[in-house]
Amino acid sequence: MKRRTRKSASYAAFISRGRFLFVAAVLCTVFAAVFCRLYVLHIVKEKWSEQIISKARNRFDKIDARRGDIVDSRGNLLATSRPVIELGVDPERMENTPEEREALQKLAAIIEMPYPELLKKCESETLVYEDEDGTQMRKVRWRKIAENIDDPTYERIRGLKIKAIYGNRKYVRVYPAGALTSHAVGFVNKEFVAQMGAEKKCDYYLRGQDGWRETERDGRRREAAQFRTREVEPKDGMNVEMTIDIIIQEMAQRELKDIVEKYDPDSATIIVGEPSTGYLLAMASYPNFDPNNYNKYPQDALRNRAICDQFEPGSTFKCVPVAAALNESIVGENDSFDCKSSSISYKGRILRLPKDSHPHDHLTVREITQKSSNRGVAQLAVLMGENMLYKYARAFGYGSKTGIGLAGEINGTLHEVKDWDGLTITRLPMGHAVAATPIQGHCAMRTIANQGIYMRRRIKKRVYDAESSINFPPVAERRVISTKTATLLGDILCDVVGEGGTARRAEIPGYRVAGKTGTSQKIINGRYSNTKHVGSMTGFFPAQRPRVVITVVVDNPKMKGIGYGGVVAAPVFSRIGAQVANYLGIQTDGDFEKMIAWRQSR
Amino acid sequence: MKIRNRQIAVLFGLLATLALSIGLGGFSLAMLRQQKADIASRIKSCEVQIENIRRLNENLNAQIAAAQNPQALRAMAKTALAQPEFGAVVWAYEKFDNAVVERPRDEKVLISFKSDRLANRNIR
Repeated sequence: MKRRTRKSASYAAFISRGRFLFVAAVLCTVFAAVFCRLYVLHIVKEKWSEQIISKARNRFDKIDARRGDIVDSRGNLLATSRPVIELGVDPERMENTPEEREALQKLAAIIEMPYPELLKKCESETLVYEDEDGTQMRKVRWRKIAENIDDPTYERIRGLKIKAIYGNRKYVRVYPAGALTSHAVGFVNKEFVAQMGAEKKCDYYLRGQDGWRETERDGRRREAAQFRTREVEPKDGMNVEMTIDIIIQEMAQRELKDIVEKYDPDSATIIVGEPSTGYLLAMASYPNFDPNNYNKYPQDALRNRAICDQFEPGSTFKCVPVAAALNESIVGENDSFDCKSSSISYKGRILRLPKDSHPHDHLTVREITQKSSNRGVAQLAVLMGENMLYKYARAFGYGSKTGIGLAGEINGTLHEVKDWDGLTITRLPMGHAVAATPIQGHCAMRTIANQGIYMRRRIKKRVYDAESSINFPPVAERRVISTKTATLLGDILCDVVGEGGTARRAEIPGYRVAGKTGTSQKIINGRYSNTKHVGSMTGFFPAQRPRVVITVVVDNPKMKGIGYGGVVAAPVFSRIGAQVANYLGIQTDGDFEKMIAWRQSR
Repeated sequence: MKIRNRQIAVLFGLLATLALSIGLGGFSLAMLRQQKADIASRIKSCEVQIENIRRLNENLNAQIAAAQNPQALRAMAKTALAQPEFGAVVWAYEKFDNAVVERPRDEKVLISFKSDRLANRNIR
């Protein structure tokens, strides 16, 4: 008791009134300071505090929209976006321990990179750069090691537990069909910028709309997802359905490969289309490329020859003057012309007629087409005059873009009448003095097959996503020739593929085929070459009820003799036609007639 | 004496209040932070799962499309499938017109189609 009394007495002596007041004042000051600070932060500097906090905690994230897919007419994927991992290193986090070196060796084996090269990439580096504040220095905190790493591989890499090495997810564009549809589909570059083909033309639909979100992050800079204040969902790109059929495209590509092996041409093009709708079923060009590795090919291979290259169509153009003359009733199919004479009088001048490859005597209009007489069509053109010939050539689509819906299409060349020289009236009908893309030749033939109606070219059929769909139905643009003329011309063109015609090799067993071959000399250094030619064939079948139009163009086939269209392109036409007929289940003429007879008998 | 004890009690009371408020404040902040982190990680893990499924779907779609590419199918057919060496296929219907298809023991030899009555009929 005595001790306790003594102890409390010593406490009492220590805590004098002054000391007590001092400590109490300090504590009160601390409380007051805390409350004052809280008052200042929450009341006086409320906005400033909010700004500081939001700057430290708020985060603005961009959410990338996924680029839409491109599919063929049967839903097969032609282009899609696939998520991959881009592997990189933060050199500043390298520990340089023996364990880490061992792990790096394993990593080098996984990503198939030489170990010394990997070590070099992991070396620390300081960047020196100039900005408005003067010379600055910055350590490199990210360097790419490998790209297109898939998930299983990335899991193996993470298993190595190298802290400095990590991956970022990103999308890459893949083309599952590879080189098969390269020119039609096109490609996007590594920055996802569309470069050509449907990718470029339909970029507006495909790219979608990026989204964004405003959210908070914690002290470890991780997102606090529950505090997302504003969020705009990304709108993924729409899918594009093309009119191309990958099976028919493969048939065309296979035939192209055969042409290349056999004739080693400078280039070649095959186009397959539907006359009644204007849809393209296949469009193949050589040389082509693999859009997955587009940067490994020369620029020349990236060009879509079907729409970017022009050539003199040669005899395939003869359909135009013949159609025009028949449509205007200037001649009848059995009217005869003297194809022996070498000159003709036109507007008070004597014009020399072009030579024929074989000498002919008197030929009817039907025979002129069948035997592809240059003199015969020249006389037809003289009969109808320049303006009419020009008008029909334009109407058939020569000299202007077809509007197929692919980037890079050219107009071709068809001079206005005022720019024609004295000989153009006799040279144009045989396909000289005019330059056309393979697609233009194809469109002209398709117009004849479609009863004289020029359809708008289509390569995209539909643009769709989960919620909506935009259809691109067939559109008839104009009538070029009457149905009667088109039917008659189709019948005349059947003779070209028949006995005595120039395209006998284009016959397809079981079907009547209408077509026209063309062989044009290439212009080398301003002169027509005698050794370099462009052989072509365009036609349709079955002739009475056209279902398919096929165009084959072979530029400068290397062979003994002249690379005539009837020799080089017609057999290809026949082979593709037979395969397409089988694939599409087109009734043979015999079966069709039997069916009609059976229907009539009921 | 009593005054001094009261003063000590007040001081300790103040200190205790200060310590308690700091402690409680800190504790509640830590709790809140942990709770936030838990909720965020739960949301994130769900989002990651959805993202993984979506990614897997996209990868599989691309792989299937590459495998179904006609060129790939043709290449596979050339290597993996046996190529028939005969020029035509003849369909024989077993038990047609009481005929039988005879299969010899040696599977490599072609089967034969035999009927007693067929020889007497004009069959096209």
